[in-house]
Amino acid sequence: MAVKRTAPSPPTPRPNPNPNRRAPASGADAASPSKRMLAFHFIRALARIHRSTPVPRRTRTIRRAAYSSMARAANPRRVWSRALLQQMRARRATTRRAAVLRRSVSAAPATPPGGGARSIAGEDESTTTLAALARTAAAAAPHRQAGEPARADALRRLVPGGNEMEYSNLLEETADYVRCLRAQVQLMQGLVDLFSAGR
Amino acid sequence: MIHAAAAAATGTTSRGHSVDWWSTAVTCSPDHQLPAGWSGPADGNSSRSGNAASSESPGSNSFATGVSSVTFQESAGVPGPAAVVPQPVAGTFTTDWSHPYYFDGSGFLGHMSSRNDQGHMNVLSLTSPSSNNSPMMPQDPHEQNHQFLSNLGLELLSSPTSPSPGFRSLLLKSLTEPAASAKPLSGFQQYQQQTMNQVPADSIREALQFSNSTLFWNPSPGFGSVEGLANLGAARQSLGQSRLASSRADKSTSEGAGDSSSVIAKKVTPDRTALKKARTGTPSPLPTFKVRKEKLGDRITALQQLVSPFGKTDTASVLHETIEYIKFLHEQVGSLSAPYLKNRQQVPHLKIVSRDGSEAAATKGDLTGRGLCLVPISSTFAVASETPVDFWTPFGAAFR
Repeated sequence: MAVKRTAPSPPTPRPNPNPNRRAPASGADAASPSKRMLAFHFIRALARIHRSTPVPRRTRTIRRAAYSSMARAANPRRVWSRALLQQMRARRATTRRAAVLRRSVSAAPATPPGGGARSIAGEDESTTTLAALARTAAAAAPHRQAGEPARADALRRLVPGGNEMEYSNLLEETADYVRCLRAQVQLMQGLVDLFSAGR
Repeated sequence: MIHAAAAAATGTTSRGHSVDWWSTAVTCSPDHQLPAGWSGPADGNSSRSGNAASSESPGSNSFATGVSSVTFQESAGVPGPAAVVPQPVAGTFTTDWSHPYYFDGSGFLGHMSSRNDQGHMNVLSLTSPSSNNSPMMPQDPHEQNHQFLSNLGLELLSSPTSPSPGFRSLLLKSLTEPAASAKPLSGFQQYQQQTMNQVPADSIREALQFSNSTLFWNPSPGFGSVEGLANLGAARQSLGQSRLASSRADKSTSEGAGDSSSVIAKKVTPDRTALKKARTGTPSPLPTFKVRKEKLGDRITALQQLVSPFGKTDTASVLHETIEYIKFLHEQVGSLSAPYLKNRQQVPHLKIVSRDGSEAAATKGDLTGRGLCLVPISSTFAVASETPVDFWTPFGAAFR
């Protein structure tokens, strides 16, 4: 498993003992990741958050941690999990560059144009990559199949990585995504209940 | 135990993916709970079980040594120990193999209970123990299988009906076959050749019967049990249709291994060709359009069962429901990730901006936090009235 990074830098993940992941899924009928795997990843991400993040922006961080941990716990053969992790990485990269840019601009308004240009170039690069991705995605997939209903693009927008998929794959990925999402929501609800029951 | 130990040896084979996890699951337990008596990693097996989990457990490697003398899961160059099946070793297996599993179950349960005893504030500190226990965590659903296996193995090993040492080892072999992949089958055939000289044919038939029974209780597709047993010929009849492809692939690789001089191999080849003929006898795939339509239909049905099991089954409504459901789940995740404060003074609204009614909203937030809501006074008259009969018609004064 490649080392994929969520909010702060994670330790290198060990070979995953998840039986669902190890199944040689040619006809890929894998169920949603077991509750324990989801819990493991989510709680680990949560622990890292509470150590490092200040309070005001924690909601967003927790939400992102939820999605990242869900994508990590899921089968890496799934298109949506890979796309989701890529999205997270790209978003983190842009925010980081944007933060650096903001800091550099605010701290020293008289910075030499070299530094400013560099950071601006960096930000432009990231934004252009994102824009380029969106453009190619939009151009490459108007209607994959003739029999595909019109609602499918709304679905493509909702499911991560849905823009480049064919219709039949889209349905399969949607099913898996819904299962994982449902399990994640149940997990989070359970955690909230657990923590708020001690009043 | 038998499977897992054999799996430790076959960790690198492509078929053994699902049993990789088993090997890691077992390798953890011998570390913690196995009584001293296992020492020294086996060279032959340490080269085979090269996955990361085995690196932390020399106990499991020596575990595998004990097994390897019976199940030749080594590379093709080492059929030697496969031939030697010491009789007393089989006897010692019974006690030693049962131990890790029962310890495993109790040890894991012990871990779980100790974890639950801690307060919920310690959940966050679970990161380190959870990382240690994570290899053990997924064991729980498979624990039953493990214990079933160990029980089965114990029964067979201690069965007084086994006539000869070769038969007992053959039983062990058939039991360990579930983890065998294509490569070791060559050694298996060699062993078959040798045991054929020692063991009478009826004991092999008995082994086949046992292997048939092992097939039935084990429905998981990850087990390669089918391939090895299929080579015995008679067991192939119990193969499901879904396993034909995998068995065919493995048979082709075992053909490539090239040890076809044994009696069993001769028995297998006509079966193999017959199987291949049957395979090619199936009709060519339907025209792609129809196949695609069926696939789509199946997937829509699966989605429908997932999203709205009691709703409509047509594509448009299923898609609509799915879209709504996904949006709803996204909102749930967002709202659940919002902090829950004690006095509920400030529930952060992600989208709602109400500057005018901010006061009202705040008070409403307080009330809902306590399970209350605002109600017009007019509707409280019926509730406040004396007669209890009116309890069920609080808002319907006209109902009288």
